[in-house]
Amino acid sequence: MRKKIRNIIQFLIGFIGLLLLWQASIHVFDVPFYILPTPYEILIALIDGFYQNDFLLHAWVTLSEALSGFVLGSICGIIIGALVSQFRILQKTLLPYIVAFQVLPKVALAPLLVIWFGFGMQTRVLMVMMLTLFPVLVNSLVGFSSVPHQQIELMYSLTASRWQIFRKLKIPSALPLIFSGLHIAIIQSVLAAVVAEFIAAERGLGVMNLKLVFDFDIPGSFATLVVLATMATLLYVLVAWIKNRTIFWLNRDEFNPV
Amino acid sequence: MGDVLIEVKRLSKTYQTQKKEQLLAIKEVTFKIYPGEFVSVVGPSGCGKSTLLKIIGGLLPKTSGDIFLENQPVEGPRKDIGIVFQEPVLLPWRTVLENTILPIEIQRLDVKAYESVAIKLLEMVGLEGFENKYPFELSGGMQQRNAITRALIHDPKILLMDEPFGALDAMTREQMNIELLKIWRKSQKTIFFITHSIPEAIFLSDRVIVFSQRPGTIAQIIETKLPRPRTLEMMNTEAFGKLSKKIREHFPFKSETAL
Repeated sequence: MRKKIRNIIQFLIGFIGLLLLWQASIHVFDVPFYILPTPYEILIALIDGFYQNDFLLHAWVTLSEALSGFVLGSICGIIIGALVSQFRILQKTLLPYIVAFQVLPKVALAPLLVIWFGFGMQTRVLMVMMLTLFPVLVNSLVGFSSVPHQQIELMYSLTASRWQIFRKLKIPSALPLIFSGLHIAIIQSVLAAVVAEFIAAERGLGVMNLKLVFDFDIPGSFATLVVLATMATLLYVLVAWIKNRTIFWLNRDEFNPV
Repeated sequence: MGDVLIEVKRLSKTYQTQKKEQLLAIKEVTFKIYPGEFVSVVGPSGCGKSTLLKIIGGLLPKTSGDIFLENQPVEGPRKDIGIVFQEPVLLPWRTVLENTILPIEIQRLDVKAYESVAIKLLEMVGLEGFENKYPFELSGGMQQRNAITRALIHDPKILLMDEPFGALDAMTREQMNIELLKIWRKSQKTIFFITHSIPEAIFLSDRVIVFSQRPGTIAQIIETKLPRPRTLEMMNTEAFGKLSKKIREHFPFKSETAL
């Protein structure tokens, strides 16, 4: 506990120092605000943003797109990963497409999605789904397929059925890797939501950011970035929190970035 | 002796290697195990003794020969066999009690009803008070005791043990041997035990099956005839030494290379 408090204090000192350095170097080198605003200008723009530009509403829109896409994409990823890992016929038929689709820069599909699904929320959620599906799918696939041989043999010796082996052994065994996938996916979800908003949206932090840049409100644009970064961090921490509670048997004295 | 519990008749096992060569692991092995007996197989590593256990446990197919458990052929995993592996193989997300009860869940029996059985077993192996701990909170010896309770919970006719104490240090191992004999006496199970340790085999067993180098064949079956209950002091007796020498003679390689 004491160590935790010390860590937080150390972080805060470093963070404030960095901001001061930033603020000072902009004054010293006389950088114009439209290239790089000072932290103070960004802070003012942030407060303005919440009062005048409805940041909260836009943040809510982006968050709901990211989260619903993340949840749907992850569920699909886990299910497909589980199915492909368990049935050889699916491995043979589907795996090449999964690999091909994985290397495809899916962001490039965004304009097509607009043509297919219009300008509504469904297009943006789909975009998020596409970017979250694959990291979760690939990690689940590996997780479900790499159960220690001895544990399988044990279940087999106990006359376990295939379904029992899957439910009682493979699902818990796959959880650590599924969570690695979810960690990647949650970050991708915010990215995907913003990209989708760049292309087709009326509201959201991506829209706001674009609008503020066009208005030459660079501090305002930075302020949206601050909100986005905060949102992504909180989502990441949420996933890490759930992970630590779910796979309690692994987080003893391991390196934990959160 | 009374009825035969396990009968192994002219059992052979051939593996196919990566290069498609036929590798004979076990050759024409024949022996019987009687109810309540403690029988060990001792032999150098790679002599096919673990393969033998896995075939008896229904985990590996045999190439030829027969295995009968109470006159029924063994053709796959069975509910009336308990196996303890080299590693404890506990599921890390399950508590000690939940690990013990796993076979009951798999066999779709009444888990609640077996909880008291599990608690008694855990008490018998000295794990009382650890029911709700997780495997990572236990020492290696305790984990293996947990594995033994899991192998006993469904009251199998025979307990197959595949070098269960091989991963433990020498002191813990001796202690586990004594514990195992206590468990054997209290549970009145038949135990088939694989080891590469000659003293361990003699100390535990009624009969020791000596396996030769690959292909695994039975070199000799020795009745230990040592009194029970066994004590560690017996390991220093003349009778023990004679048995040890008799078994070791089947592995001349070791004495030739010794300095």
